[in-house]
Amino acid sequence: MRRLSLRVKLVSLAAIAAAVLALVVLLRGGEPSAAEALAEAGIAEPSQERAALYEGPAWQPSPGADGFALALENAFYALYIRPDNTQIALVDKSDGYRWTSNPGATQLQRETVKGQLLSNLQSPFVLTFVKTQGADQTIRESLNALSPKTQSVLTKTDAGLQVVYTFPDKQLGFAIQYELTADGLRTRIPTAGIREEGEAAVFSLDLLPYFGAASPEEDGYLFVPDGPGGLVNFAAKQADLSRGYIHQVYGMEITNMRNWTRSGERREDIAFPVFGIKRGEHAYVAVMTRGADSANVAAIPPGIKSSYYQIFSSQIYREEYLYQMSRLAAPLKAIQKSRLDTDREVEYRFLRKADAGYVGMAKSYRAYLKESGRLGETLKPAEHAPIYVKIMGGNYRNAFNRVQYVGVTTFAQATGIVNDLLDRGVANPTVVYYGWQNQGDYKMDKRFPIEKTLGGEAGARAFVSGMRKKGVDVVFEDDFVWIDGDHSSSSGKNDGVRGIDGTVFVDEGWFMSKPAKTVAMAYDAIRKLKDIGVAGLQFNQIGEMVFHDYAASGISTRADTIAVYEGLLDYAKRTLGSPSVYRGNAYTIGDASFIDDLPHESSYDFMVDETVPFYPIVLHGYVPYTFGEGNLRDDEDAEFLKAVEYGAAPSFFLTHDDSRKLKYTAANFLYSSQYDKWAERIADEYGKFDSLAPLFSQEIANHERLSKDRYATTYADGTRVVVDYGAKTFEVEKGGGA
Amino acid sequence: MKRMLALLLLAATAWLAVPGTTYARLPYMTAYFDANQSQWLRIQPIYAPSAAYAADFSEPVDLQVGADDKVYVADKGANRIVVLDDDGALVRTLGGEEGPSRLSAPEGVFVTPDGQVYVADSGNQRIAVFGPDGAYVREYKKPDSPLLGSEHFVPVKLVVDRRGVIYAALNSSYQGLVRLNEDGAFMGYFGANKAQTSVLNWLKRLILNKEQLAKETAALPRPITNVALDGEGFLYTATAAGYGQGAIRKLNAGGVDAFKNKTLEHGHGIVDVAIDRDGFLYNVDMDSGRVNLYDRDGNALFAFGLVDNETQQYGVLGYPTGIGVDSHASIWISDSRTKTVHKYARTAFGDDVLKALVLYTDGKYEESKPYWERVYARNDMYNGTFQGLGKVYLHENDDAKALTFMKTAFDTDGYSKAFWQLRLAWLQDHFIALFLGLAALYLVCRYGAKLIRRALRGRAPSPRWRRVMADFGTFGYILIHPYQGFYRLKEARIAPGVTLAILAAVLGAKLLSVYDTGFLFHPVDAAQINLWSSLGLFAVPWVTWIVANYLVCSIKDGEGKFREVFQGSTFALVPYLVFSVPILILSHIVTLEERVIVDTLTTVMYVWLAATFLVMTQVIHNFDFLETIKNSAITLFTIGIIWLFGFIVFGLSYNLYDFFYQLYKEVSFYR
Repeated sequence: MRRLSLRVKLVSLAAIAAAVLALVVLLRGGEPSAAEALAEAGIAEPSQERAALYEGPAWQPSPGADGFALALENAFYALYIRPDNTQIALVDKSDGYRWTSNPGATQLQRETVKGQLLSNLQSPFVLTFVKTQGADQTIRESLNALSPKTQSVLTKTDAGLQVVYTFPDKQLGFAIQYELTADGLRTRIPTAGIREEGEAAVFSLDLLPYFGAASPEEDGYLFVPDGPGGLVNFAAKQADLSRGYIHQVYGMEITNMRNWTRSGERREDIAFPVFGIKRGEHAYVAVMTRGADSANVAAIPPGIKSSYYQIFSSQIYREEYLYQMSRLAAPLKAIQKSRLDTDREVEYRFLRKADAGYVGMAKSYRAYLKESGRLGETLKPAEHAPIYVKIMGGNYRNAFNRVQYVGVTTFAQATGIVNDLLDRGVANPTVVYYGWQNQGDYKMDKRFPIEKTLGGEAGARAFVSGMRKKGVDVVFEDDFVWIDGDHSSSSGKNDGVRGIDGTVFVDEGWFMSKPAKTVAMAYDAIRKLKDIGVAGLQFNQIGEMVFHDYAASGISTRADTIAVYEGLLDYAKRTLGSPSVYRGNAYTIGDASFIDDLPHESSYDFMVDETVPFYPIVLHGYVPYTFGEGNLRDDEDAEFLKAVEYGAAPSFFLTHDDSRKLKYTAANFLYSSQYDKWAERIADEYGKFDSLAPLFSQEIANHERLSKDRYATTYADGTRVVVDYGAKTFEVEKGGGA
Repeated sequence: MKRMLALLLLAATAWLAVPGTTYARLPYMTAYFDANQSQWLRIQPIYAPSAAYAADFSEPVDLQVGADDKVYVADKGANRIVVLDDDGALVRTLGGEEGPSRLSAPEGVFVTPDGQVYVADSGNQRIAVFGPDGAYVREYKKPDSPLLGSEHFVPVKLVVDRRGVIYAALNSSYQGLVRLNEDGAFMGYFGANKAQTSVLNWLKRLILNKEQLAKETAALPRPITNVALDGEGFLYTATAAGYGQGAIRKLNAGGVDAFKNKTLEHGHGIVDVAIDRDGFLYNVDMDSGRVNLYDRDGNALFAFGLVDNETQQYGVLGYPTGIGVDSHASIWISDSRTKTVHKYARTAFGDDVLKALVLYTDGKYEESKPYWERVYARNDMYNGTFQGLGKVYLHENDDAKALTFMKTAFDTDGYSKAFWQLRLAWLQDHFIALFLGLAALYLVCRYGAKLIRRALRGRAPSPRWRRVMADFGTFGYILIHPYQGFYRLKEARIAPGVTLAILAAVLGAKLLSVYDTGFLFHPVDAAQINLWSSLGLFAVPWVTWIVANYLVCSIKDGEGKFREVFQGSTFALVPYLVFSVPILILSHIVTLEERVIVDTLTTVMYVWLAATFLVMTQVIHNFDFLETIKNSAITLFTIGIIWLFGFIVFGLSYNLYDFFYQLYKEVSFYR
């Protein structure tokens, strides 16, 4: 046999290489790489700008008789500082009311606590640190302004006042900056000011822990961001309180096993970084404007740290975590090595008289959001009330030797349901369609082609265009964060978020994709769904969960995650039109076209004795929101009335077939969703909500409790909606116009 | 998909939870027990937290709800009994500062229907009695009885029956409850738990002598944790540990357990038990961390609530110590960690479900219908609804509907009843047609074969075909005349095609029986049947039989060659093929009452199979009868050995594989 010439060999080799390359490109299914997707979606690499320290000579003021010296002043407020212990006092010039960072000397005489707790009471901060060398690296100790050998250096510039603290013993140091604004006081802990030069490392920092602290006899309450908003009334007697309310904004770090070992606390995560206090005629609302995601809101009742009600932000710099040395041994506690390197900023906005309450706080927060461009335009008035019709296509279950897709509503059946609703007078629906991905959520990274049991791509097109003809938007729901690593082809190693111990966080086989991977998958899906004509995407997880990614190359903080998510929502808005989210954490409200399942219930805390519609007051008229689905309520009447009281839009979760078919799928929370069972009830309930349609685009002006069971919500044009939980009715009292 | 929801249910059962969750709503999940699948599945809340009352408790350790709905709490730390009304307001406290009414660390309390309060005054080693007005009445000290011996009289929990007889649990006493009559005289022990028997103990008792046995730690019965009494005079004891076995025992006056030491779901860490007026049982269980509801027979119904030592939430218990139910079916739980009494109120849905269940158990199907329908409107998934409504429809003679509902609920009993009715109706309608059809079938069988034979007589089949036909003939012949049949087989060389055809037919019959047996005899979801294991359990014994039989018999001077053993074993399957068809057909026709027909046929089939295999062994190897028996026994033993060996090899290699696989995963995915 003749030997092949070199040329032939080379050519065939090249051909094979080209074929392999083509095959690889084809098999990748067109999903762009994370970097490509980020670039094409116009999302910048997250980079957090950091505040600089003030430069200048040390300022040595001469204090007045009370020990305080005037430091900053504008038309509305004046800030005083005591050079000896750096306590501050803020005077509201409109009525001379004085807010102090700590209780005064006379008040302290009644105090029963001693030692560290007593000195904490006199300090504008409490710094908790751990050691990074030797044994017992998890033991936490604290420092404050009164700790021995503490040095403080004041610097005054045009921008504001800076106090640099140094603890030579521990070789630690940090700075607090104070600035006056038209609405109050801005405080900042620049990360550039934190110095860890020895064995000690900053664990957490309580900023102004006793600012405005109130004794129990006073009239007022603490405002905590629990659910839609919660009050801790000073007068109320609460059951066992041994911990206070200390919870991280946007929820705890999910990758930290330490947060899992409790027997399973189920609660409402904090959705908006706000807290406040009301004392008689005065109040402040504190907005955590930077680094909120890494802060705890701490509300402490008397009897734990002092005899005061106190509320403050506790800034997290390191976390305690558990790591597993081996599969057999119990996990060990450790403290995260590198510090979360982000600035923290809290803006205190002061309120008085009629505004000194949760409604005034909500309005002030809304004003802040509008000023800073974080809240969109007001909604256009709607002729009919919006209703969100969620339709479950189906999901998969494991059957013998195969994955069985259990379809419960095909695209054609969904068309039938919506048309029937329109015929029944349900005038302004938006459809959210679930479970459309190939095999449901079996392979979270291979969502196309659209599940053929439901009608495939052709069915989807027909459905969407049919709906569009009737003026109904169709939104597809998807989760671009959790991936079932056991079924999908993407690997946790490359795409998974890592915990503090550096390992990929895997829960029951599922891992969370890095934000960039989320964008890559979403970008691909958006492109394909746009072609089909879908009006929007409902993003699962984006609006409700953030995390640090402890990658080997350095920590991507929650702030970075938020930046990418904001970019993704923005991109979805530009391309599709209406991105929507669940829960509506504060960073999503600028872009979300609506928020599903906005927090509307408390966490059932002993301490929080009243739930108020703070977040609804902030959002109403800007972003539509829904509460729980009408057919899945635990308490039908109360939850319906609450939606009316809090100005929520109705939603229902429907299927064409019996939801029983979904019993052994992940969609088994649909206890009863069969359309025929609910059609009449939906039309009926929609009628009631439709009577509130004129209020859709208006701000909420006031909310009050009239009696034990009666609540009134007043809108901008003066219309009052009075809800009576006792009689299970509501009334609309027309207002005179805006 | 809202995956977190799925996660959460896991979390609630596995004691691990994702911190902070999307769907808090109530701070706990509610689940119902799906008896068909033996698993807990989620459902809407049955109970919602209504309040937690502090009432300046110091250490509430027991709780009892009186007939007047007042709540009596034993506060061990404050040395008193606290009486609350139904809104949690303090009514009075019992126990004075001085004198005989002074209590010392009381751990148990019981209220009689007429308001007498019996207190297990543990610190004072007595039982103190207070009147309905709260005044101290009398006390019971340790009764004078040689039977009690030197045991300390530290009553911790107690109940008092209608006749005034006191049943008191003493501190960690394994002998049961101490029974005292109204005058305080000792009437003997009552209701002791059974000693734990284990195989190991049994072995020890066989082997060890007396002295050695004395050195062993005695297997003592578990001490009774708590007691309760129902309106009919049954006494319920709660006993923790033992993985739920006898966790709740329902004792009559004679001390006989109506639950027969039943294993209770979520009973391992039982703290207390309560009974409501409808006969539902309630327990709070530290092990699962749940509050549980059971029906009158102790079958699990619902679980809700959560136990969390660091709780700061309503509805989440810190360290539950006692449970009671009032006349509105609200649950009261004393919690010594948070120093509160929690109250849970029934939700509207819970009310409907439980009312429906009561009426259903009482046989009032007609009355239960509106409740079931309301439940059905709110929940498609709860099995009880289908059972309940199925019964209702059965009662209304709507048998077709009843049949589908019973089938959905996998309730074979109800299904059988509905089916009986439907079958009867069908038979009445189609009797003539059925008779004619059967007659026609008989005629076809009787004369059809003759006709075919006559038609074929003209053309003679090729010799090959004749041989094949003869082989199949032998196959049928073996059924009735196994000896002659196998002799014929021994001499013949059967075409492989024939053997394969027979095996295929047997496999087909097996497949049919797996997928197409009537619902009553095989109530499973076809999609979930593991075909490989079903077929494996059928084929592997047969294959190992061939191998083992050949190996054993060739050592034991059997004549059979491997091919002959294989052929014989294939042909010996004839009873299976012949019987499984009628069994399959009958399984679609008979109801549970007539299942004896199917069961008998199945038994006969297996006996016949065994006999055929024995004859096969005897003929193929040319053994005498005794040899056959002996060698067959050895064959069975060999099969066992082969399997054991297989398991060991498989297990070890799987472990090795798993080790490397996990290592690979660890290295490649997580690091």
